[in-house]
Amino acid sequence: MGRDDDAIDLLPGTLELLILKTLLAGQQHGYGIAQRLRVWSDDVLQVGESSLYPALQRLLQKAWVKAEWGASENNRRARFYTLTAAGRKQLGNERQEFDRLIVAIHKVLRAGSEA
Amino acid sequence: MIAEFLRRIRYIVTLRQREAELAEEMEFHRSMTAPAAFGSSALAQNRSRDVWIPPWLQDVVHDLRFAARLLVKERGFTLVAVTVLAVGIGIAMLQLVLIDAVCIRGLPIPGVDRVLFLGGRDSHDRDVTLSFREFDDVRQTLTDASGVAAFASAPAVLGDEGRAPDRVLVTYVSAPMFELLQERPLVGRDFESGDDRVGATPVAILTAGVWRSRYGGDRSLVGRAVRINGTPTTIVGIMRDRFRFPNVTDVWLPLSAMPGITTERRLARSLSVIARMSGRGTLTEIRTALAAEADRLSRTYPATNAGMTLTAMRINDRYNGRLTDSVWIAFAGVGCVVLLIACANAAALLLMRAARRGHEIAVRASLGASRGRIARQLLVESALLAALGGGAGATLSALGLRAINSIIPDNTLAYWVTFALDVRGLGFLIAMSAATVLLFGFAPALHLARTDVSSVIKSGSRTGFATMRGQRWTTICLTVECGLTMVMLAGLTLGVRSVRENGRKFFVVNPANVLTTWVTLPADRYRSADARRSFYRVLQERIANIPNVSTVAMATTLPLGGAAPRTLAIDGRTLRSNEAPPTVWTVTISPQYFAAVGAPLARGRDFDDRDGLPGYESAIVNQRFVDLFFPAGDPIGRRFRLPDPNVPPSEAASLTIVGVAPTIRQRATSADADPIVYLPLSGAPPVSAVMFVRSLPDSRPIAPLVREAARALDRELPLYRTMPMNDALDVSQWNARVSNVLLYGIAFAAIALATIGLYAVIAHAVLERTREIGIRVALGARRARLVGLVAGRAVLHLLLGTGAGIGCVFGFERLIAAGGGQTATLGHQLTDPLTLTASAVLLAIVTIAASIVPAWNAARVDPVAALRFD
Repeated sequence: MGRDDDAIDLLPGTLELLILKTLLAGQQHGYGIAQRLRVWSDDVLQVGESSLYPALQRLLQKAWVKAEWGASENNRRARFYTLTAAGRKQLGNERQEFDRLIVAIHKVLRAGSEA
Repeated sequence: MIAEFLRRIRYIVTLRQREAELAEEMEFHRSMTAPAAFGSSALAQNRSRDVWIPPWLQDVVHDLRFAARLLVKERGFTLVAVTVLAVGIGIAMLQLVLIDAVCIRGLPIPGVDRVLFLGGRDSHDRDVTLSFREFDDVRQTLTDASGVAAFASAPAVLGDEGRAPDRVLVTYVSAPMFELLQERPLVGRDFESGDDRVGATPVAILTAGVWRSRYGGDRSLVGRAVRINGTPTTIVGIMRDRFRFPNVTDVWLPLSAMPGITTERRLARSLSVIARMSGRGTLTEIRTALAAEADRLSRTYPATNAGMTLTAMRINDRYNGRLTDSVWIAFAGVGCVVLLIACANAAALLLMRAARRGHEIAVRASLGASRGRIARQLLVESALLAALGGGAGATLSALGLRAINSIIPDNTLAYWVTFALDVRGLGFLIAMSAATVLLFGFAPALHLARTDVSSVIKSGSRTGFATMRGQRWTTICLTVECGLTMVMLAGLTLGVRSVRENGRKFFVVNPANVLTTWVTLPADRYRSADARRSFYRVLQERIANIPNVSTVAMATTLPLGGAAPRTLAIDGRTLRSNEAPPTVWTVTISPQYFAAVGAPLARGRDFDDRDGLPGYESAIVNQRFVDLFFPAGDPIGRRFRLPDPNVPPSEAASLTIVGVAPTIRQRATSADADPIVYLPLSGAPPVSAVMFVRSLPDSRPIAPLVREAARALDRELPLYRTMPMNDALDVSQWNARVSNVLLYGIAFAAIALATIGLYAVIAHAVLERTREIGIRVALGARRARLVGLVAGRAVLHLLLGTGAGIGCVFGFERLIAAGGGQTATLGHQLTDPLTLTASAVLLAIVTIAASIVPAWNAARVDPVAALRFD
């Protein structure tokens, strides 16, 4: 459980897309992002820390999210990530791109089964 | 992109804080989940770092850190290696800067490749400049060019109210000159075509240098009048700093202000002409047009233009030194040789250390380091050394350039020749440092990366790895190095011998208590020979009347200041059919010259006031002239002529020898003393002359009194380069002194490098054999035999090196000869036995010096420690 970083193999860039999506609901810390992903995917996506935190660093590097220290719900110091304007725009683009990709994959799979 | 790059940089700068934040953040995460559910935080940290810093860069940084720690730990080694590289890079860089300034960089003109120098080649196949008439013809032929302009330079006097007159160099330029060079005045305006007409109001443009030094940079000077050669002239503009086209001009005047310019004959070829090609023009088209025009001119004016062609070349080809000249080949060769020696040394040092590190490398290889990884680590170490060496080398070359610049007198080098480290120099530096890494770092890196792990570890020795291969490399390096050093030493020996003989050349002259000063008579007021003759006579009388002055004389040049070549025809002797007439050198002097410079006549009499006047065509010749042309019998009273090439010898005046002078050298570079003919000043009073004023010992400085006397005679006559004769001789020998700085600097560096290299190799050999020596001592070997063991090694290298060296010296001379040059300085060859012996002895001394310390160490080996020294 979670110890294995890549319990689920995701397409490259997908994790970043999902993180951006979770942040659309409001700022969140790393643990919260992982929780949301798990809950929203009905426990399918259990993202390991060694995938999650490098992905967050990539988002910081692209300036799609920004990070601020604040107090968590149990009043501990935690780092909260917020979507930036550029991140919001990126999410839109990525989403379209992802939809196109999924449709394409489905087409390929269907074509295979018909043959 | 840029913003992201900046974020990466900020991350690297605040790396520690960022990683601490990440750790804290993950700590929070961990506290929220079950301990077992959390993955590896170290992996997350590493991956996060990889996001910001590319992994290869992290590796390089790691290698650099490791290398830096190693260099600090082995301070002695680092110091020696960096010094070696600094000397090599510093000297090579100095030479590249000099070569770049003189041969490569060229004139600072925008679009310089489109600017051409136009000249001619006369019927005797000599390069000539053009006359005003020819310039006019060319200007009208090249209608397609975007500008054609002519210039000529002459000394002049700049005077105005309230300031002492200055001797300046003026250049007469035709109007589109600055436009053609794409220069605009800093203040005021350019010449206009209206300024360049006969009868126009006289105008002038000043250089920024004169404007600042003489007028304190006063902008209101533009529009005011000054006097140039006595003519009131309005300053209309001031050019930018450091622009002194064509060479070291102070003032520009319109071409029409040049005396007699528009009435000049076709033969008066005094104008240099430049042109700028238009956008679509080519050099071939220009040459075709010029060929047609030359053809037309030779038909229209056969008397002056028959057989003459017009030539065009890129202006840089005209003004740059030619890299193919033997002097530059030799110069660049020396730079490369020193750099190679330095690299060979650094390689030997690295190999020596590599031998010590064999064990470490083998362990690393056996723990899984790939060969590429090990080689890269070693290359990074070399690169760090090269970077340090490059930095120190740049400092060294900057110091050298400062020394050279301080020797070169003002107004000697053309304005575009500056010896300074600039961006190009920096480029050289980086390229050279990188080249040295490849040269000295590669062999050891390959060598070590090929280490056979099991054999080294099995041998149980920290030092005994691959010694055969190591020795072969070091022997090759060292032999090459000795060979190159030998070339340097031969050059140094030769240089020292010529410098000593240079010293002897002054033996006959006694420059103490002599003041020298130059005077130039403005052409407009002293046009006739009579006017100049009588002026000089009165000036000398006035100065001779100054208290404490014992002798006054004048001449056209200083001793060692050069002389004018002429062909000699001796009365009553005829040349064989294909024999070239002998060349002699002439200096024009006043009476008392030999007394003034302190070199009394050997025979005969001095000139008096009548000599040189019609009916008294006399000459004094030097001893060398007598030895060459009148070896038997009394030369006094014999006659000869100095015919012009284009005039039959019988029409030249017949000169009678009245005296024989000691041999005073006029040319520093010639191997033997030249035959010199002294002609009387009254015969052809020159426009410019140097005056010698000898005063009694310990008298007050007389320079102000001499100036006063000149001013009393002509208020607008500047004396310039006024200084003691000793200084004047030094200044005139500036190029010899620069050569000496380079020669001694390079030779000293070569000797130091050779010593270090030999030391490194011999010490290494001793270190490798420590165990063997220990056993020998334990078995009772005497100390003397151990020293002999080390010395034997040194002697072997010495013999190999001397052999290679003699080969290199001969090869070097052949190379120079093939380039059309000669290595003989003052009659000595690099390959003459004395030079070779002296350099071999020097090399032996260097070898002994380098092997003393290792031999001493070998003799003191403690057998117990040595046997444990695995």
